Amino acid sequence: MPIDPVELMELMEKTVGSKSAHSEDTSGDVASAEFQDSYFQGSPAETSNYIVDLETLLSGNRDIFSALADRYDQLENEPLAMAVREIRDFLNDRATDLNEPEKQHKRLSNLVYPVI
Amino acid sequence: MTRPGKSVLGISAHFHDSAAALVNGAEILAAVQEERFSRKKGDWRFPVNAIKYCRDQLPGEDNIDAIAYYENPAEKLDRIVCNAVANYPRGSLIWPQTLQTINELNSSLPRELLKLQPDPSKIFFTTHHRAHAASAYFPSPFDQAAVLVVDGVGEWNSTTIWNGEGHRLTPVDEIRFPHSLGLFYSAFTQYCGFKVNSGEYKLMGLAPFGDPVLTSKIRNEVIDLRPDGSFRLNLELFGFRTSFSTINPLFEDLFGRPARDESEPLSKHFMDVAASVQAITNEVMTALAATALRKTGKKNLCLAGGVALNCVANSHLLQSSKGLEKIWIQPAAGDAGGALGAALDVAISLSERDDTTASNQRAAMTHSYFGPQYQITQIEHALKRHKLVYEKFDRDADLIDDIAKLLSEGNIVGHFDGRMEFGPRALGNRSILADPRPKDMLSKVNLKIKFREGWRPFAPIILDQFADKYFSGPTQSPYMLLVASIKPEYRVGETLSSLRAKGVFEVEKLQNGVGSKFGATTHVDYTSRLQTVNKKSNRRLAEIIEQFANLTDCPMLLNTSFNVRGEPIVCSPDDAARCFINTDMDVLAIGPFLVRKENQSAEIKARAGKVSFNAD
Repeated sequence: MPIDPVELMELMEKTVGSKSAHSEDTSGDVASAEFQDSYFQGSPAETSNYIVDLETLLSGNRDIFSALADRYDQLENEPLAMAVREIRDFLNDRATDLNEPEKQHKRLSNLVYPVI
Repeated sequence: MTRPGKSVLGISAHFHDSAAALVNGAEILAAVQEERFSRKKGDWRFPVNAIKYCRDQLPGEDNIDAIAYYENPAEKLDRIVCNAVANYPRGSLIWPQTLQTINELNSSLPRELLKLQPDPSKIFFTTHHRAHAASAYFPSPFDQAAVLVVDGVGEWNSTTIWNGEGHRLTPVDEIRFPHSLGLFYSAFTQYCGFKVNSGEYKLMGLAPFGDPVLTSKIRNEVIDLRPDGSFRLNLELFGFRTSFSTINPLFEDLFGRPARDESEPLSKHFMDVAASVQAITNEVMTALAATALRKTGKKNLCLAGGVALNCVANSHLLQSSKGLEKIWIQPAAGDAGGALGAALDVAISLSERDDTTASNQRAAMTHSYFGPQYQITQIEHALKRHKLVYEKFDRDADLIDDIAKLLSEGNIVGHFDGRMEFGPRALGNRSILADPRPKDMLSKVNLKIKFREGWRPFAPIILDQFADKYFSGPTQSPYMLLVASIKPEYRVGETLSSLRAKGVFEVEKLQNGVGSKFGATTHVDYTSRLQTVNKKSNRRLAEIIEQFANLTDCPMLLNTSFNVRGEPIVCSPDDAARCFINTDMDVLAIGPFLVRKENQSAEIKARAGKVSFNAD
């Protein structure tokens, strides 16, 4: 069955909504609010900029999302870890059908770069 | 005989412009976008056809040692989850797509990769910007260089600086999502009524028609720039984090009128918007380049990422950057090039690990013809399938003479020869060629062949030894990634300002009114998106131009991609035959064959111009 909008809202409230208070805020900055000489953010962490193989990426997990949840655990971000595991479980539910053709084409909507 | 280096298949997929590339050590064996096979422009799906083509280029006894994917899906998932959480409860409209993407990266992607290579220790992931940086640095002619990558977004990064030394590529600095110059440019693309992720080059082309009178407003309200080129966006004006729109109503309010509908005429307001955003982009790219050189202590610069396809900004930074000696820009600077960069990065890294350095010498890219080519019999069969009447030439020189003569007589020629280009530009092997001088050539090719807007000029392709005679500015541009200015002695008649003084403001009238001896390839500001060619880079094309010059004293041709609007560049002889039949193209020169429209049946002639196309 295709995903129901109400079911989707419930899922997002359960997973994302309840964790939003714990997240890093990447939104809403008004330009110039915070004056700095530079907005460069420094050299990135080495782990995210070098080549990894699939075995390492999975770190013994069955899928990438589980490995990501483990990483959040290590960073002591339990709410995000929980959100990721709940979304994973939802997606693993075979009753969830995300493959509606019209949704697949949203990615190239002509109005936005495929950020997601 | 097996090859000495590591053979690695690179893949970019799942977002836009999927592609595959095959390398052996630092040698590029094949690279192609999926859209060329699927005929779906910008195809984002897993590139099964491109992969098959690349694998087929490896000799039978050779194996692919590893697969390289152009992103780190865990990092991308991290950004997608954090974005959803940070913006909750906004963003409900994109949640279905968010889940779809999570599912694809988490489940489909590993499954697809494991199908190609069952051993997970031989499947590698680089990062999006690292793949771009590798695509720019490793094939460059430099042993040492600063590398600047600027695009929409990958995992988290939108702008990165790298230090390239020998076989090493080291990250130096970065700007992270949601602050992005690519998304900033796309916002104005959308506002001006063009399609995001394909219409950015139209915005760039519109800019010279306007005046940059809105730069202060944009600087004050939309983007906060620092002297080192770093920036932050005023996120209140953008919708890309929570909707399928780059801009939101506040953005439109800021500029005092709603976004242009694509069917609306282009008013002076939108020309000024385009001029202003292009001026800022030039400024940011130039400052970023200076910072990259300063932070790395290098004198040469490599560029990649979608913003590096902005040839106006590229030329501005090349001409304005103190201390910059040479520049090299990856011709497949968009995400398709990520497949190539990932493959090179992994191949070089594996070769180093296994101490096979002898097979790991970096090789400078001298062309971008890494796509499919077709046998003479395949071409002939296609011509027969389409019931085309053709002539076959036994001597290349005779065919070249005929093509040049036909061009000199004003015919428009579809030219299909050799391996297809990798990247968004047609550089002669899948090109439509014409004489750039006749007054009506611009509208003829725009409206009857390409079915695109009449105001957009084409690119000139010129023998490189003549570039300095006709153009000033950056005059060596083998991949059509720089703009140069036509010299004053070739300018004639009206100028943009004289036409405006007479009350002319329509883009097509302005474009057709500004005078140049090469009207079809000269923009209203007298710039041209130049491609230089020589016999080493493309022998047949150079000889056609040489012969054309013998007949006309003009060593340049109009060059535009062999396709119609909204369609990917033709790949196969069948694609070329269809495009020839469906348009008013006069001649098809394909391999050793010449097909003249005048020799075709009435039924085929009647099909010209009946093509339907998707707006691009």
